[in-house]
Formats: sequence, structure tokens, C-alpha cells
Amino acid sequence: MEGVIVAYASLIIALSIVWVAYERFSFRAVSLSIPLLASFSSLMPESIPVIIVSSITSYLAGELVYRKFLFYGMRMFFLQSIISSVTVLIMTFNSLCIEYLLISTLPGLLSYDIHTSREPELTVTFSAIFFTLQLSVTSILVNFLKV
Amino acid sequence: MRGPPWRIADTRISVQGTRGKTSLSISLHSEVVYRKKTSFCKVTGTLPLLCIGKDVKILRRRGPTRLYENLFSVPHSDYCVLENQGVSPYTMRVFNDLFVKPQIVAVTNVRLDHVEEMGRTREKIARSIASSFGKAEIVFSGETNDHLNDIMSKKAKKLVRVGPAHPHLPGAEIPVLLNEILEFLGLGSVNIDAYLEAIKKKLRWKEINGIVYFDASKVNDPDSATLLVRWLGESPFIFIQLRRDRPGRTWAFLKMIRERWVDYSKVAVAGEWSYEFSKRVGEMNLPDSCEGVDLLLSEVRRSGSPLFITGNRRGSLVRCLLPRLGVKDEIPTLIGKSGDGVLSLP
Repeated sequence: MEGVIVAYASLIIALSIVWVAYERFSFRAVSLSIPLLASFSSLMPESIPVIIVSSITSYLAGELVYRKFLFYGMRMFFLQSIISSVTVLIMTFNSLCIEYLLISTLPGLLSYDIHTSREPELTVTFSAIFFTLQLSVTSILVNFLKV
Repeated sequence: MRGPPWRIADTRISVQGTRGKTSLSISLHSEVVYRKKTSFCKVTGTLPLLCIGKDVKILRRRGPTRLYENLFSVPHSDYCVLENQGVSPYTMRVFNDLFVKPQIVAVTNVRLDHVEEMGRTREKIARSIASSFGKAEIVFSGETNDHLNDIMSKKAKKLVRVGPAHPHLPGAEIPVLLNEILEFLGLGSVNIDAYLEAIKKKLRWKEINGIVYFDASKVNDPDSATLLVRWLGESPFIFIQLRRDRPGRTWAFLKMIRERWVDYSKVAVAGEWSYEFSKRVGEMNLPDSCEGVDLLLSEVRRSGSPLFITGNRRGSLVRCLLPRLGVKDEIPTLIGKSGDGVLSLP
């Protein structure tokens, strides 16, 4: 229970940091899905490879469809959300649970944020850094409370 | 052949910027066709048009505007000139990246419009515009601010700064851009002075039934509105039509009035948030309907000032007002009288 409260606090603080960075410095290079994905991963570390693989899969599939079939905008968003969900389902088929269901579209949102970003490389880099930092801090606190 | 422009035209020009895209696109297309080259051109806005050679067609839209309307069934052409209709950095980039793949990008100017998507400062808007340049070989910029050009040049392979032919005339950058692009394409030059005179003839107060007015309802940003008011002279009665789906424009025009960028005798607003707007500036709020037109015109007559209409062209009051003033959308004539040196200047 304490772990969940820490994860909630981590989510709220992380979202606030992203918001302040946007308002004060017009910094938009972190996807909005990252705070939730990082908080979730701190409680379920086994989800990290699932998140990474489904993000990469939905991004690459999206870029292919973008170039070949002129998909853009909301079509791209729906496509990447669906690919993300399907990838999560396939990867977790042997251990299905409601938690994965609830976050299954988030890697798709991350891919979409990167796709629509003015500087995709920067968005990937900063999102990865933010995810790692938030995950590290939250995991330490979660495990500290368990001990 | 139906497909995106990059499959249909050999040389592709994407026209971007805040104001003057339609004018530059139509003028450029006209000059190219006059020089016996095949070309097609598409412009957007309130009257979307597809020009194939000398023929002009109104594009009928069904449903919301989508970039897919840039898939054409037109003959293969030497050139195409396309107005970049994207209103966000993303859609501007998609337009260039997927549909046009332009070799040449023309940026008319950088002003405060579509601030919700592009940014609240001209620097951010410049960055937004520049993020769509992609692999274009050359960018021609009609923007006069060096700092904004420096921002855009970071994303351009080559950026050519085109100075205005007249320091105060709104739209003076258009004929100079036109000339530079034609010379770059090896298609000769134009009579810039003739174009400037044509612009001056359009930028005058008009009169109907005792009301002196200027229709700048297509001028959706306060920077351009300010330039126009200064050029026209007088302290006008400013009417601003607001739109629900353009809160950024409302914010930008509020800034213009609060900071008094121009002298004016009175301001009236109509549309979404008009009550809040009028309260903040202590000016007049009108009902957004045809009833508001009568109130507006009687106030204008009482003030004795000329009426300057700006903000948006979509809105109930302005839709009733413009026909009363005899204003209507006209399809531009391509390839006008070649003798006076100006082929087309919508």
C-alpha cells in the first residue's frame, strides 16, 4: 500500500515538474505518458521491457504507415494506440492482468508524442532520461518502504 | 495522374508564413504560366482554389479540412505552387514531408497568429515554421526581423533574406519574394514597382452609403492589422470579430488593444468571449448576429470615424456585415493585363 502511495506521489510530482518546465521554459521534450509509465514500472519492474518493446513497435509501425499510406494526425494516434495494445497483449499473454490492460495504450501515446514532436530525437532522449530518473527515485523509495 | 504533388510536378514551391501566402502563391503561379510553363497552384483559407494553368476551380470541401485534399488529379506539370495550409508545426511538417517535398520554401512573414499551436511569441512561431523546412534546398524569407531569420536559418540548408521594397507598405515583401523566386528559377523578373502600385491601390478606405470602411477581416493577426491601420492613416473605429475555436487570436487582439499598438477612436467586439474582452478594455460588446450589424453601423456613423474590420471572417456578425458593405469573395483573375506589369494580385 505504501508503495502505491509513493507511486501516486511520484506521478503527481513528475507531472508537476513537466508542467512547470513547459510553462516556465517552454520545454516540451518529455512525453506526457512518461510520468505514469515510470510510476507504474516502479511497482511492476517486469513491465519495463514490455513498455520499451511496445513503444518501439508502435513507433516503427507508425512511421512505416506514415510514409507508405500517408497516415497522420488522429489516424496515426489510433493506429499507434492499437499497435501498442496488441504488442502488450502478445508479450504478456502468459501473465495477463488488469494492470497491463490499463496501461496498454500508453506506449502508443509515447510513440505518437515522438512522432508529432518538432525534435523527435530530443523528445526520445529527454523522455528516456526523465523516465530513468523518475523510475530510479521512485523504486528506491518504494523498496525503502518495503524494508 | 492522381497523387501527391511531389509525384505530379517537377519543381515544387511551398508557401508558408502568416500573411500573404495566397497573394504570393497566385502571383507566382500566374507569372510561371505567363512564361509558358505548365503549373498548378492550390490556395486555402475562406475560398480554397485549385488553379491549373489559367483555369481556376473552387474546391468544395465536405467535412473538416484535411491534408488529403492535396491529392490531385492533374496533368504532370513543370511547377506547382502550394500554400502550406498547416496551422500547427506538425501539420506544416506533414504537408511538406509527405505531400509536397518542396525544393523551394517561401516564408512571407512571421506574425502572431495560430498562437495556440505555433507559440505565443514570434520567436516560437519562427521555430514552428522552420521545423517544417525538411530537405528543401532553399528558403526565401520575406520576414524583415533579423533575429527571426536567424532562428529560421538554423533549420534551412540555405536561407535568402529578401528585404521589402517599401518600409511601411503592408505586403511589400510579396512582389520582392516573387521576383527573387522567379530569378532563382531562371524565369526572369517582374516589375516590382507595378506590383507595389497595385498593392497601394487596394489599400485604401472605401465608402458605401456614407460608411467609410476597410475590410481586413481576412487579416487574422494584430501585427498585420497594426501595419494596415498605420498605412491607412486616421484613428479608426475598430471592429474585431472573435471566434470560439481561435482563442489564441482573441488573446493576441486583446494584447493589441490593451497595449494600444495603434490609435483608435473606439473598439467593438462580437463573438465568443466578447463580453470578457470588452470588459477588459472598456469598449463595446455587440451581439454576434445580424442585429449587431445595425448597432455597429449606427455607432460608426455617430463616431464619424472610418470602420476597420478585423479579427476573423467567420462569425455571424461579420457574415452579415460584409454583404451590407458590398464585400464579397472574388475568384482572382490569373494572367491579367500584362501591359500594366501585374498579372494577378488577389
